[in-house]
Amino acid sequence: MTHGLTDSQFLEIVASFLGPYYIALAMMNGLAALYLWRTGQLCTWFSLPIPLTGKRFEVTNAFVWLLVGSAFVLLAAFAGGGMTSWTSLPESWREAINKGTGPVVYSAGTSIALVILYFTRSFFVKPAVAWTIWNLMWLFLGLSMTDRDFYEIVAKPDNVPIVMLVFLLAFFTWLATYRAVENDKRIENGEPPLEKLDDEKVLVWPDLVYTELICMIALTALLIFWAIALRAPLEEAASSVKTPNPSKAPWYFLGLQEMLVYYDPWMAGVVLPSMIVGGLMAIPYLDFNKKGNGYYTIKERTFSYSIFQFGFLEMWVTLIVLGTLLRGPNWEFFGPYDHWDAHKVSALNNVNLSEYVWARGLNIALPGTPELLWMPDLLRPFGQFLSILFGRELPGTLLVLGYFIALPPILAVFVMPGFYKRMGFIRFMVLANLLLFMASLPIKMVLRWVFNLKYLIAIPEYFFNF
Amino acid sequence: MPATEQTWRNHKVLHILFGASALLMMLATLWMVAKDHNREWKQWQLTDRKKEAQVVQARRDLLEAQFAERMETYSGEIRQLSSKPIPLKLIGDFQGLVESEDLRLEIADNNFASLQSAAESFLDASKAAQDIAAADKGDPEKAANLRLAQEAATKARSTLFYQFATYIDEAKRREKLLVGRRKFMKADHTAAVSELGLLVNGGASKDKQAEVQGKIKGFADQVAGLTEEISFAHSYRTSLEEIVDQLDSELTEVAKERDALKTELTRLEDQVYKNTSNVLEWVTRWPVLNALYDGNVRIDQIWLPDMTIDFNFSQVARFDRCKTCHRAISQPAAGTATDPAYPTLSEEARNLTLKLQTPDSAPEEGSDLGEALEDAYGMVLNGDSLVGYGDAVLVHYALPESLAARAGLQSGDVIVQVGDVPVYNPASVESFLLKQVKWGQSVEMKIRRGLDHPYTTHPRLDLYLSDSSPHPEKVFGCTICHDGQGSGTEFPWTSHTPNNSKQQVQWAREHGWFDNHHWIFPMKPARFAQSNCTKCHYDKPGLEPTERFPEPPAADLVEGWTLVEKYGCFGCHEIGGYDGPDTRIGPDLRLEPNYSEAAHQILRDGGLSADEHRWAESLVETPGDAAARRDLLIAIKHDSQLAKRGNPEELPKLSAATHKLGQSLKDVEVPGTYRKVGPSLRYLSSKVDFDWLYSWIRKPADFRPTTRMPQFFGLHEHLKDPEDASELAESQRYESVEIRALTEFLLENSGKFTYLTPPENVTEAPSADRGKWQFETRGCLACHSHEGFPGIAANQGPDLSRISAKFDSEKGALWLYSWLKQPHLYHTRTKMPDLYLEPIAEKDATGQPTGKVTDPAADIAVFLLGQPVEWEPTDVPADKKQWSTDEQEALADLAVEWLSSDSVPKVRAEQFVKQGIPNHLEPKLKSDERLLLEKNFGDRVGALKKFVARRTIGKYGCFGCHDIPGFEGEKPIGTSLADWGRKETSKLAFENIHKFLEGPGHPDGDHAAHGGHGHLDPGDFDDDTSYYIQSLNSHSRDGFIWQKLRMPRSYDYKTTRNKGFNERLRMPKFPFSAEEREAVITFVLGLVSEPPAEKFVYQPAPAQQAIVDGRTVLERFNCAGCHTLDMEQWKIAFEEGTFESPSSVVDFPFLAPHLDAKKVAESLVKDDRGHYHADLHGLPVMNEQTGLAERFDEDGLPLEPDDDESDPYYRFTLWKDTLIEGEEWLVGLQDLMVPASRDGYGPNDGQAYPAWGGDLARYLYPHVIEHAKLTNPQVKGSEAWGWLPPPLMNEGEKVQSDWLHGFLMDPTELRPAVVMRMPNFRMSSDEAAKLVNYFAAASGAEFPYEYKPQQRASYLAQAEAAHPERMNQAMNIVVDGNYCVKCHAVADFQPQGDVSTFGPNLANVYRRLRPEYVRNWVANPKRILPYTGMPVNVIYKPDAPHLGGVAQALFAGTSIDQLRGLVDLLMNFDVYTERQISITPLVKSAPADESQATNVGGADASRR
Repeated sequence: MTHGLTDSQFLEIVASFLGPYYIALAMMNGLAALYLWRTGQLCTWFSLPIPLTGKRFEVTNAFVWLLVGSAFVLLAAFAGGGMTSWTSLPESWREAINKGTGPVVYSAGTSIALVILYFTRSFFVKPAVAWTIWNLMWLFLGLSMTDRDFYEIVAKPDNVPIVMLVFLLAFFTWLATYRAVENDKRIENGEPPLEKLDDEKVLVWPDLVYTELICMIALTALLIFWAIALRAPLEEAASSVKTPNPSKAPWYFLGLQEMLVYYDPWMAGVVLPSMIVGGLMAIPYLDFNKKGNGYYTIKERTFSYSIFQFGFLEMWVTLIVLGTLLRGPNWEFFGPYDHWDAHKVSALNNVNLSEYVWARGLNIALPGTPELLWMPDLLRPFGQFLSILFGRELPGTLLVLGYFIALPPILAVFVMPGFYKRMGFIRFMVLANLLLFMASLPIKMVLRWVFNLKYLIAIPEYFFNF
Repeated sequence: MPATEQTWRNHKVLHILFGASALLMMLATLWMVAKDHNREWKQWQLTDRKKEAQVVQARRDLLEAQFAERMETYSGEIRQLSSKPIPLKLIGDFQGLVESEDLRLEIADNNFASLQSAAESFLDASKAAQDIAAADKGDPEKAANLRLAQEAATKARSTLFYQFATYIDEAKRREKLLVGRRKFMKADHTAAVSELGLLVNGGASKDKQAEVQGKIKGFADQVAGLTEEISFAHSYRTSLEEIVDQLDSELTEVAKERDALKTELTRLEDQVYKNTSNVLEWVTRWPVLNALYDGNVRIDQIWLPDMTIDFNFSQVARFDRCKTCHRAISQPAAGTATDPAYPTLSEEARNLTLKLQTPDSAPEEGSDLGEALEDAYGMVLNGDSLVGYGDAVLVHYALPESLAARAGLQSGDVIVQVGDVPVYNPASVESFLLKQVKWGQSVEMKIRRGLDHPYTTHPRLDLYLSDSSPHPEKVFGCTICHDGQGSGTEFPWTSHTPNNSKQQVQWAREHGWFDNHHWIFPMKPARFAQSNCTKCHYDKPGLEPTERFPEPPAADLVEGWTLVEKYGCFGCHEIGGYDGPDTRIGPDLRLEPNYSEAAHQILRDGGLSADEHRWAESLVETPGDAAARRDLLIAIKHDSQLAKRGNPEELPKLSAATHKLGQSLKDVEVPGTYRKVGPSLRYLSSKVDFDWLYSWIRKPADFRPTTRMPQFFGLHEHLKDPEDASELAESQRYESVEIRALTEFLLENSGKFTYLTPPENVTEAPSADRGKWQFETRGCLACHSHEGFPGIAANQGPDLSRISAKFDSEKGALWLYSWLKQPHLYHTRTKMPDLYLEPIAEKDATGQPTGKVTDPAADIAVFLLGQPVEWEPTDVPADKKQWSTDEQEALADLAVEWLSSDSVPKVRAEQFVKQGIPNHLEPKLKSDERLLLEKNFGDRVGALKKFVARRTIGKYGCFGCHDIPGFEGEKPIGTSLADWGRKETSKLAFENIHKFLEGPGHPDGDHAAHGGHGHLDPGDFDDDTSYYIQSLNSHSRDGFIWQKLRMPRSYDYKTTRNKGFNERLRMPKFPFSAEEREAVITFVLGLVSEPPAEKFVYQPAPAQQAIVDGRTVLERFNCAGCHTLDMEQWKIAFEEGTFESPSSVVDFPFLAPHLDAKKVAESLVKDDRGHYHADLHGLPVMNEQTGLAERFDEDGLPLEPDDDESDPYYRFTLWKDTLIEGEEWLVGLQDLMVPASRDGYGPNDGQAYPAWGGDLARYLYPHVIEHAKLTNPQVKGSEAWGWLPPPLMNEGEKVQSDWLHGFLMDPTELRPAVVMRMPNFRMSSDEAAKLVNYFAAASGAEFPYEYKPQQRASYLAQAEAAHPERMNQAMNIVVDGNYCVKCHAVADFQPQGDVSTFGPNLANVYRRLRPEYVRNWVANPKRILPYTGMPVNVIYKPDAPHLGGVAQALFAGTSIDQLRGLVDLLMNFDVYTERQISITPLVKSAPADESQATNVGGADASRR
């Protein structure tokens, strides 16, 4: 896209984008201030003494957002005027961010962030805090745009929806959490949730159909505008001798593609997706909590909420973001400001568990494959498979079987006895297995990063790896 | 539940939202339509239309202005003719005709009153006009009267003619009436006939039939009657019309001429209209409507179903839409076939400063400044906006011969500044030029000329696009040559490629250009536009200038191609042009199979049998000897099988090495044809010493700056950083070991060479003076340069200026002598010919031997070795016998580097190097590792040295260019280049090149490394460098190869630390200049291996193919170094009367020129400027002292060098008959006086294209004259040409193919007069055949066989039947002292006198020359060779008895008979001499035992 342009040509392009961008952000804050002012939601955060007069100037929320808006106007002037050194993240920050976005830090960081956000949600959902974060997110994007490598990735027409997805997701997550927090407070105080307040009948026409029609038209118009502004990318002709590097799945499948790094294709491509679909279908039958219908709440559905948010935000969305923005040529990890150099190579010597146990731990050769000549030809492969499974791959087999067979009863007895009681054996076992499957991905990731573990069970002879 | 009016959301708000969203939707839709409709190309087209309209309008207006006078004249003539009285007789005739017709038709009432009165009044008016005209014409008042009178007469005339027309109309009416009646009658007749037919078939009664028959007859009669009537009516009408036509004829003639002018103007007006927008057309361009109308604004595409593009999975037809924007790309200038209408001009040619001469005095003041300007300067201005300029002052047109035209102003020029004043509108220019200038002086004007892309035309319409070109646009399109995305219609998406960074920045700003690396066929930038020629042209000669295209079609590409050939890139990089034996995919540059070398090496094997020895020797000499090769191969195979079997009774005789070498003798499917470019190193030690060789290998350019040998060592640009100091030290340490090991190895490995010694009969000691003359005249300078001979620089062979420093020893002198004498002895595949440097027996002025015998080879050697040279080998190891301890350590370390690998750890390798490799490992070792076996480790340093040297040779691929014993079976070491032009860029290892370029490799010299994220900014460099920097930034091939050739090791920057010494880059550095580098890149980028469909590939006709093949051989042996293969070609333009008519000549009828009517017509065509054109082939006359073309004044006297006054001319000697203004100028009769350019060489108006070859002949011309004048001061300059290598333009017409083939293989001495003799190149029979075919094809002669009826017995019998004594009589002429034998030897007879005037022996003519040539030659030699000294002996005089000729006493018959007789004798000299002897008396009686004789024959035939 900016391929072959000189730095100054590139900065010209960015400047022409950033000017309007910051103006839009300024307007956004201005509108926020206006809204607060007009709807009487002003509140004074603190007051400053006005020298000599003895009066105090009340610094209200609207005033602060107005100030922020003006700051964006200034930024617009600088960025649009080409003073990019003033409107970029410092090199040291960028390097720090690059370093901080290795797979481990990224995954662990997002998980921790999720946990923190969860526990401190009542702070983060405050509109002022959320708005500040919202502003910072946009600012971060703007400041990063002057980096050529970042721009290359983010401004690629393919990736624009994913950037928008991040913002939309942030907004909707905030909205839901905000309302859930409100509701939880109200329920604690014995009040009905907000949604119950205006629990009136609504007419299909015009309230539903008309709204839908309007949305439909507006959305179509938006898509047209989008199509005009960002042309569909036209890439090179397909070739049997040259695959694009990196070869990426459509953005919504990037989470799945990420799984391929840690699992055998058969597992990541077939078993796990089926489990996801099956699991999602099973939810209504597993759910026994009658609360939380028709209104937002967290406290009344802590388990479902946290499991869902973990599964969706952590296991799906962050993997998509990771796959889109951080995976480069040869499926290598690149920081957001790293140059996608196809020549980057990282050491990838992964070892199977059996090798760890036999060769490295016990210092003996790996158990071989028995010939099983006495078995009928038809059965011999099965026999061999089983003998490998319980021979060479015994440690992994034990672990996996233990994980899926031993863990659920333990969970039932020691960790979630209440669940077990209320759900009964089958429902609980299904739930436990689904949970274990979900957990297997992060576990596998950690094992890979920490121990360079390739597969727990590796039987490439029969295309079976786990 | 009851319905309520209450809704959840506010209804009104929803309505508003709905309205807003609908509006938004509409906006989106409209924007979409607009975006789709307003496509970029439309704007280009509309602008181009406007430009076209403007230009055509200007041409129309200019024509109108030019026609004005003629139009006026025509109008006057018409007026005058219309008022001319008409003969009364004709009116009478007319009346008579009418009367007689009336009489015939019995019309009583014939009233001619109105006709009469009209005639009278016209005659009166006409007479009045005549009277006025007859009076004084100068009076303007009378002129007005005359005009009035003429107009009155014209009016009266039209009345009269109206009267005529009335009668004619009446006649027409009658005729038409009759015709109509007959038509009806005929229809009735047909109906009746048909009715009769029905009746007959229906069996109707006879009566009924008869009745109908009667009806038919009635109709037929009536038709006959009517036909007669009609014929009367018709002849009446035509007679009337004839009379009127007769009256009108003169007038019609003039009117026709006037109308022709009008038509021309109307035609142009139509064109303007077509390119002008109007309301209706504008409406048709609206969205949707434009689908219904195929308007003038539309996508213009060329569909090329067979010219496919490779989309990986399928071949897709091309759609080239380039013409959509480049509308004028194939438009020739008006009135020409291939001159571009809108030429692309260079920036210098676009900004001009012209001097406009003002009139001598102020013109009369007029009201209209524009008209005044036209009157005064002959130019009209226009305030329109021209493409790309906004409003400007345009020159609408400048009248020819006007002040403006003389200043050089052209239609379409933009006036930027007049005097010192910038101008913006026509009024300011007009007022300046009419009011503010000093009259009689000139005014400076700044103008801008020409158009930008895409409004311009292709510069080479002679080669491309036009229908007459070899690449018409409908067949080839655009993208096959230019690449790019042909289907695209937007600037950025068509993948244009800027030619430099300035252009790129401009394009990015103006057109949104970006580097679309997804389109893998980006357009070639202008600098590489020629690259793609090699997609279809697989042989270089097909791209070289020819007579039809004297302007080089692809100069850069050909240069690059030549460089690749000369520098031998194919020694390391195979450029295979074949995909399978029959499929060509590109240029084929591959080494020939090394049969000769392998055979040479096999000869070293002591176990060869006599036969095997003979075969191998034959192969060494002639590697093309397939029979010997196969025999040898079979013998070696047989022997190697013995070795495998290991039968102790039948042990192999040949060594294992020979068995292995046998592999190289196998057949090759399509063998390469290139010889290695470097000299053989097989007997190196017989030639040079350690010091020189060491110094040479270290840095060849040190000894010979112009050498082609690249530099392998000391290339350390990438190690310049201080932190790489240790790497640098390591490299230097190892490289010096490599150099020393190589030097010693090559000398030790060399075979024993037997020097040649001077023959014993030489009496004189060698002399440098004689040697210098020999060196100069024996042809050495055709291939070699030498400082001592300025004025000629050849580069086929090395520069010999410093050769004495190289051969600064006894063996050097011995070697040089042997080399000069017989180069093939030392290097069998050398291109250096055998010059026949045989001892010369000196003769005195009378031609008598003086007894002194000199040896030219020794003379030349002494001369070359006697030249003092200051060069000394430097940096040579001090101790040449012993390796120092340091060196030994380095050698051992390097050997360890070579030995250690994954399987041999370093410790082990070190041990091996210390003590040798244990003997028991031998079977596992590679051949050069065996050198290190314990058993060979007696001389440890020697063994290590040999090992390292062999590995080093293998590493650098020395054998790619040199024959090195022991490396005969090696393959090229470099990457193949056959499809490098499409090499996947991700496979190119750019490594740390950007950091290198920022640091030590900065293109502008040393720059301190500066940090930063970005790459170098191309904008910081000059145009050429900026392109490559840009290309490197984009990770493209172009930049990669540029840097690779510039600094071959630079991709190793910062990688060396983690790379073994032997794993580093090894490409050497070639001494290319920036231009040469670009030429080489042009060639390599064209190697794409994408052959288009067969029909597009250049497949020359057999004759053309022969020329292509032949030119390759001509170049290989540098034939053009001595011989002129094509004379200069001058394309000149000249005004009428520049040349006088050619002098007429009386010649034999068969010598009369064949005038081609079409060519005569072409030579009579005038161009826009009113100039004729001609195409001259030949040479300007040279100065005898300087050898430069001499300039003459008008009277034919040589011009003094400081004479600036007279107009210079060249005397141009024609070598090809030429048409000038429709007249034929013949070769050999007189020189043309061609007006010369004042600034440089060439014609005053036109282009001189250089001769092909003959540099040496031209260089020697003054020298041999000077030399000849020492003995004979009277010698004439023109004779000197006869002593020099002959020009070979018509060689094919001249000689017989078979003779030429033999001559080329083994040249015999032909002419005693020639200073030098044709050397022996030892070419193969195939090469000689190619040359023979070339010469024949190039001069349009028959080949490969020619039929010579004159040599058939039947012909002779027939001719002698008519004239029995003709052979003997012809012989009379030959042996008559006044004719042939005066100068020619005939068989054993030798003429006496000055050798320099002698011709070849006539006894050989029958084998050598073609009959027709002999006839033409004897008839008039100068018509073939303008410089020849041979006179016309048989003179043709059409009026004399016997048509002239020689005395009847010698040969009875006409001059034509005599000539034919002579030709027949010369062509049958063998037959003639056979008749003089009798064999029968010599025959002895046959031996008694016949069987014995048979046996002897059988034994002979047993083995070849």
